[in-house]
Amino acid sequence: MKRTLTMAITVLLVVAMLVGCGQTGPNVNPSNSATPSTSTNPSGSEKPSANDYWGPEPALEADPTPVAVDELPTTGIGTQISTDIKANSKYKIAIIVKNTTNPFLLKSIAGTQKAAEDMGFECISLSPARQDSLEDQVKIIEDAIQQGVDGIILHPIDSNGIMPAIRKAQEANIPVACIGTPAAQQTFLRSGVDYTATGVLITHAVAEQIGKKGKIIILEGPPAAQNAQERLQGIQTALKDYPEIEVVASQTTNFKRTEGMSVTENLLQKHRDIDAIIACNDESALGAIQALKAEGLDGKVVIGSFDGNEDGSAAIKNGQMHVSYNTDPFGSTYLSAVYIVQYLNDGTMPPKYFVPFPSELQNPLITSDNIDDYINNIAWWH
Amino acid sequence: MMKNSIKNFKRSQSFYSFIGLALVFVIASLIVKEFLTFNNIITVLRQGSVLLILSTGLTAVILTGNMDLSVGAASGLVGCLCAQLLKSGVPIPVVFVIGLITGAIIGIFNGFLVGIVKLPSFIATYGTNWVVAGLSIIIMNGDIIYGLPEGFTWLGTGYVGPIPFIIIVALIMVIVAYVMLQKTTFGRDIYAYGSNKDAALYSAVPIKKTLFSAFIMSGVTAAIAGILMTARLDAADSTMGDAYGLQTVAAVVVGGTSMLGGEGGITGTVIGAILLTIIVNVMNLLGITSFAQPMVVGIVILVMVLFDSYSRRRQNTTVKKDSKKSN
Amino acid sequence: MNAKVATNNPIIKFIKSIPPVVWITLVLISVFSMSSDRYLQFSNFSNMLVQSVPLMLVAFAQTLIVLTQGTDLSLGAQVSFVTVIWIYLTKAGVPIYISAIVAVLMSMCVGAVNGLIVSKGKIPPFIATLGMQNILNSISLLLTAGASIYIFNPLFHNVTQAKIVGLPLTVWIAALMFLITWVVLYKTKLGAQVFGLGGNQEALTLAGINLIKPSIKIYAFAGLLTGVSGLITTCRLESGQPVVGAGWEFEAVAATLLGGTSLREGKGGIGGTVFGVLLITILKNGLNVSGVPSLYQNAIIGMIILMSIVIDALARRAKS
Repeated sequence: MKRTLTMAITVLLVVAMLVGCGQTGPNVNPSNSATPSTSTNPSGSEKPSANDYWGPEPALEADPTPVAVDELPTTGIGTQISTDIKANSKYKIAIIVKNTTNPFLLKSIAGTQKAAEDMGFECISLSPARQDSLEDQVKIIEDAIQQGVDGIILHPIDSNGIMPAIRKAQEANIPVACIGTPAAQQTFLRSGVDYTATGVLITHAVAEQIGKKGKIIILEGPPAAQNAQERLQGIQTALKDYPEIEVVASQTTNFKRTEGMSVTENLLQKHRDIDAIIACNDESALGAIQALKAEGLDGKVVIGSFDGNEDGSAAIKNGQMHVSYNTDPFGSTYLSAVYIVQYLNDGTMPPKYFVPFPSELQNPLITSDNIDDYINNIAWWH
Repeated sequence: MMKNSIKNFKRSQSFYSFIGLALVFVIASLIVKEFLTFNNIITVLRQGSVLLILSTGLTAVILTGNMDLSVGAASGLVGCLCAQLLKSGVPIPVVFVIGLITGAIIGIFNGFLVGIVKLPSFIATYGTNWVVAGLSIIIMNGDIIYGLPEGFTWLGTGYVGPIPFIIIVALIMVIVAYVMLQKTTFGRDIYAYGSNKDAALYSAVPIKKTLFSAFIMSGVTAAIAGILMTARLDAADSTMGDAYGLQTVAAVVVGGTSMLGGEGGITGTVIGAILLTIIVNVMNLLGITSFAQPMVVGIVILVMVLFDSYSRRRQNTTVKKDSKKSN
Repeated sequence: MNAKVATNNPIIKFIKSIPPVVWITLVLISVFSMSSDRYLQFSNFSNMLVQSVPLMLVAFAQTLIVLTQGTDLSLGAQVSFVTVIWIYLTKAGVPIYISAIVAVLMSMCVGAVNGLIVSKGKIPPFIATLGMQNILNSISLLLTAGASIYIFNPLFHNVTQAKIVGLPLTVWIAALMFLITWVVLYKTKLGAQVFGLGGNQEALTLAGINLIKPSIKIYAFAGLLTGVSGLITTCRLESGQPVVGAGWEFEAVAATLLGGTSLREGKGGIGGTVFGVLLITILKNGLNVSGVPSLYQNAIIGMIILMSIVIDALARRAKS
């Protein structure tokens, strides 16, 4: 009885504390902080605040039209990317990723390091100790602010969950550039690809290849990963244009090759007559190819995927995969670093909040037609 | 003789696991018409092979009343290491030996922490798991290796007649483990140690040796599983073993091996591993949303273990005399 | 016996339960302070303290379970579950405070079910809670359709920003929960039963003590702690996150053992656990601040934690 009482009292106490806070605390509304009065900049010049694009509107509704290639402060994409801009002083810029096991993210770090060499700033790379842990990523951002970094390039694990940490960076007037998945509300910059748009493009490419009709399987990414959900959304949106295409199965493979393989093996038992597979990343697509090989079906099923990683490019070259999307982590991170340095130098803001990179102006679809050029000149994984 | 062994089986812990498997099997064949085809059965066995091999070694550890949470990460590390070595041109047999030795070293390390430092196995092997997973990340340097020599990938993708080679390896491993646990002194020591540590001490069971052997067995099977996993995928990435850790524990326990040690065995483990593989296969075939899949697996684990616990208690009260349940 | 000592001399017990982890923590702090001049600032420590709160509460829960000779693998999933339920219900129109209470109560129910399965079903806690972990994960994912769910409410921001006497509110909540856990553990019959369950279950059974009720209560109390941790996590992330707690249960076990609670004998207490959690937080923070490449961090953290546990075990054996 006493324990029950203790527990009940505890719950009440905690909730009372929360209630007290809700009523008496300063009523901070994020939309109010759109005009931050406190953010005076250290140099005292007419530099705009890093939060200039900061607003209540959701990042996902931002205008995704690409910036013309000759208006970018960089030339080239992939590992060839370069710039003339130099850092005015030794800024400290942090690249914060989701884990250290994904080649994509490591190339993103490499892109920042190259930018640091080219422009002359100090780059620190940070990653959650527990892979893909949002809680850890929030801590890391707090630590980075504590350390006094000048800018942050971020691969957010979750749009909504990262917001409190983003807001802390904004309060400290630190520009935050998000790559790929954006924070829920607009920050200094968003770059990388528009996942939903890539989903649409890949689906169209696959649909054309199978004559706009037939049976397809979708291999989804991790259930709670936002980039996976966005790609899926893009795929589903595009499929509405093709009433004769039937999705016979849509299952998660957690972006993993092992699971891509076993799930495809299982599904092939039921659906041997499929025409195409759209996988939400190259790794799961490669697993699917392994499964098709085991069933003697390789080359007979059209495969569409995302990333254009090393192994995926090889599969396109030898005809096992039809199309993939170059998501270029190296170049997009480099570009973000350039925009941050420009801002830190003289307050120049990016032309708009969302600068897709590589955009549809940069031939992001990789097929057998351009695979050699891609592997030799463009690829981000060299 | 025959009657006796059936009676024995009925009393053994694997009996309920077997009933569970049979039940799932029948239901699956009724609701999914593609389930009971030769191709699909082969698919299930092929997918279950890695889990099965991992589980055989873990069974030995759990029979001693300990736990090994590092098997998933260990298989991942060995897979990564082998892929790196193959890429740099080391001959396949040498790679095998290095892989197996690595597995054995991880086993010895666990044995040291549990047997000499006397840490609880649960936390010691979790620590090992953490370190080993970290090492895989360092070895791979974040890359994913692919395009391994054909002689190597054949292990995972080749066929002997209509049967995939990997299934044959799993079968051999199961037989070896069965013989080791049921027919040798090593096996008897493990059961004796697991059912009562003090008694084992007095009956002159070499405690440390038994413990070390069990962990080494677990490490080596993890290494074999890792090699086959890499061969099957024709690729290695640093996280590929992670998912197997808890799954392997579930397979062994669902198969009726008691976590307190001393009860259960390989027969049950085979049933447990196949049962878990079938469930995922059927859920894929039925198109059950991925969000709900963990729930189904969780419920199956709970139901199987509850049945097992119930049967064990019933046995303890009704057939007290016949309390040797080690078969 | 243990229980008696514990209830009679709580202060001595507490002092005795301060393990080598404290010294290891101090060594780590001094090493890290050399790498960065900003490290030793008050704001950095306050920052780390705030960061450690959610894991701290989960670790208190895990300590209780470990003292009963069990391990609860569903604690992390419970945290995710609470963040999801709170936001989900609030989104559905339930007043935010009511839904907070409901979320915590549901987490307590989950704990009670765990306790029931473990005691009545006589299933090892490890495997029973592994099953529960899977089930909770599914529920969280199904409720959120896989993505995070979000509402705007100033409450979240206010909770994380509020300060009382210079320290953030969340730290005070953790202190309050520590106090309550301490009282439950050392001043009530339930606490004595916790130590009893861990000490000698057979003796308790023979003495005719029913183990089912205390088990249910202990696991439910653990659910309360994870529930509060879930609420604070929600405030910190301002959203419902279906997978945020994944892996916390293991870090909580590590913290518990670092703190000197033994997995075997039902000895130890929550005093040490506080330092176990701080050590993990300081380690993660310090490696980042001192710029160790993230590629190596995983292995280093695992190694240091494992070594600390080994040192602790050896020190303990040398003492006895």
